[in-house]
Amino acid sequence: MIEANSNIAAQQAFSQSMLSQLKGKDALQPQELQGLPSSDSGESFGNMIGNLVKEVDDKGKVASAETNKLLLGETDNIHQSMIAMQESGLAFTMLVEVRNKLVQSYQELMRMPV
Amino acid sequence: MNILPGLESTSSALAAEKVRLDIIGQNIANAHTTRGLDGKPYARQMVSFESKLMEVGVKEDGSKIMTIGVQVKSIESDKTIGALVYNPTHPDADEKGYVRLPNVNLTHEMVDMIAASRSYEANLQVVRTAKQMAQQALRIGK
Repeated sequence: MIEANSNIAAQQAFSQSMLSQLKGKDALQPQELQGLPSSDSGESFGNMIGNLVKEVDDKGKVASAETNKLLLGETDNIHQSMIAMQESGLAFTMLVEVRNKLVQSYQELMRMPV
Repeated sequence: MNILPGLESTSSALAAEKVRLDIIGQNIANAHTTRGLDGKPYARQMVSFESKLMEVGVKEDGSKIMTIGVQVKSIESDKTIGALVYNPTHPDADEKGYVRLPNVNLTHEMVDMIAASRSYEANLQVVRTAKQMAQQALRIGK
């Protein structure tokens, strides 16, 4: 259980650092993208990814809170904590999958012969 | 974002089955209690479930997403009368030497316990399958 908790904490730390990186990028984006046509929804891609990271982070926090409640004896529903942990793990895997795809696209672009 | 769908009702069912097992444990523990809290032989407790409407999220248009979960409606005593056994040395024997035993039938309790345990297992299988589905979907890219 403690191991799982530390795992969640590591996930949180990772998603938080990703979040802060994305936030830093957001500040730069308007100047960089001035020449490009803006998207129809008015929501930048960075924002979209930022929201995803935030949701995944929230799931991690929920799992952490549930596990803490269980360990402190405030509740005796093991399944709630386990389900929350699994959900947070899956959400994190999805985030990593999205990140992998992004990096892959970037590398694909970099390999393009000029 | 709902990665594992349908787990709210499953989670409520798991909690309810836990209460059921709790009560079965109580019945088995008191299978030979001839003096309950009210001075009479222990009466077997029965759990009954009822559906409950649960809010699991909000749609984009602001309407709520509801699902039907389960909760324990009541815990009631079984009114059947237990066996009358002749045992004049028993401290709770009446003046004729008969003792009223609790109406707990260990065989029934074991069957109920199997039912509760299997039901818990079935709900856990739902959790497992939901997780597997999500994992399989995440493996599309590999």
